[in-house]
Amino acid sequence: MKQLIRYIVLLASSIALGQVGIGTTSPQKELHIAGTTSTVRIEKLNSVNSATFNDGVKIAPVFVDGNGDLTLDSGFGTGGVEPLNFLLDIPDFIPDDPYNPLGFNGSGTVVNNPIGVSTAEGQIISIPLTIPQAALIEVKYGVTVLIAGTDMQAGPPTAYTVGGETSTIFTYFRIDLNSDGLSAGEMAKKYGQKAQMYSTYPGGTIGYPYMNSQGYLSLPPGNHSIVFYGVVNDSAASFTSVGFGGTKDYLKIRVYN
Amino acid sequence: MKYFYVLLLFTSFVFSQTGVGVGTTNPQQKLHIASPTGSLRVESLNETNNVFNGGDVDGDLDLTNNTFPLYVDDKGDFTLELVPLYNSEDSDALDNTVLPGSSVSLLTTDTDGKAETQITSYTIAINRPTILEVKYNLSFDVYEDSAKTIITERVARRVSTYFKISGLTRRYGPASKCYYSGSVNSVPGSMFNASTCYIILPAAGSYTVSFFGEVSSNTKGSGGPPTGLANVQSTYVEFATGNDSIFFRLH
Repeated sequence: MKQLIRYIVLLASSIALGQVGIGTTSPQKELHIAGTTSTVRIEKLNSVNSATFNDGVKIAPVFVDGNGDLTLDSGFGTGGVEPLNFLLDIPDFIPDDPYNPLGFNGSGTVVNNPIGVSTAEGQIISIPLTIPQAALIEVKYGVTVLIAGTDMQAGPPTAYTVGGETSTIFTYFRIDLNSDGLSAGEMAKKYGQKAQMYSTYPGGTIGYPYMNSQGYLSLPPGNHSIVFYGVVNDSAASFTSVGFGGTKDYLKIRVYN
Repeated sequence: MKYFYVLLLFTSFVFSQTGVGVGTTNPQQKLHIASPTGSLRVESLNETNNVFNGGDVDGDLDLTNNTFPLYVDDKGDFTLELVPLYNSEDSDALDNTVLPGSSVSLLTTDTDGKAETQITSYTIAINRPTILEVKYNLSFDVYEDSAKTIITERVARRVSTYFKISGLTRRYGPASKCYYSGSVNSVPGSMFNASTCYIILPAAGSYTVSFFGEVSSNTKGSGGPPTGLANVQSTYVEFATGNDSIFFRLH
């Protein structure tokens, strides 16, 4: 009888009123497993017992079935929609002012590649990015470009690029963790690269071709910034001015899970 | 009193050979939570303890309406961390200095005016039919020959990138650019193709994902080339010259 009482006392330390606590005497749910590192091991789902869906190398998504059982079977069908957390969705994230009619001079939306220079890089724009959790994030963007042979920071273009000379335009982004300025390590990391060429004989087009790209990166939680850059490559003998974001651009970022 | 307590416990908590039941005396699994509303709380996965749990993301002071997909690792342990099959992040996924297939030459004697190279390949083993998600950003530079002579004869080239899957016939994720150069002062690149694709892998097994680059020149049917030019223009394309990105996820 004493042994039975001891057993009951042992149970009562962790079980109360229809709720089970493991590591707590005050369970908040039907089964409450307390402790900052404790978790649940369901051996039915491990790589031995569920080898079809859990191959022992890659993680496997968990769903519940019609009986409420946890399962590794696919979650297709009504109610099988998985949550998406969109962090940023900005339809036109660069001011539409590539050559200054709005007085946006010096915004950094124009990158000039002057005579004597073959590669010029400039910051286009920095956007605040709040990350609620450590996450793999997906960045998708489209940036327009406008190319001219005169300085578009000073005003509307008055000349085309030199006929027949091919230049290339390159966009990408960096991440400024905690928005405290880009460190050397952060400067070294480039994501979402996209580049294309431009060449014309006198005439050409004043249209806005799009640079579309995507990037996938892991970030810690915090108030960061995503900083877009433009690069212009041309002959050192020529002047090329590129206005980024002169018309509708887009930027969409989500937690990718 | 002791017996009452024992009874209270055992109305909702049952050890048996079948398993542990919460809210049921007839558990159908080792742990069977029978309540229609009761859930399972694992504090190591909550906002405070788990860095992958974003908590009140929508800012409405309600932690119950922000959800995060749950995974298990190889031991069957719960985790909130998604690890894709492969993500190059900021590193250079494809390095032209070590990949022997990173360049392709198109010769003036080429019969169809097209040449392709397999840049690299990856092997993926799966235990079930699944969907493979692929994203890539692949760079290239265009020259007249392997000595890296800048093109000056003012004839366009088309450069494509895509990938193939072993056992499947079509090209996936194709992206192309036309390159044109004037007679002086042109740059050869770099250019970047960016593309995305979802592919159904139809059965368990091993698959090879191979990335290709292709170049073509002057393949029209009649009329001949401009005076003094061959029908096919000599071209040398070097792929993977920049900081390239590749991402794979199995669904």
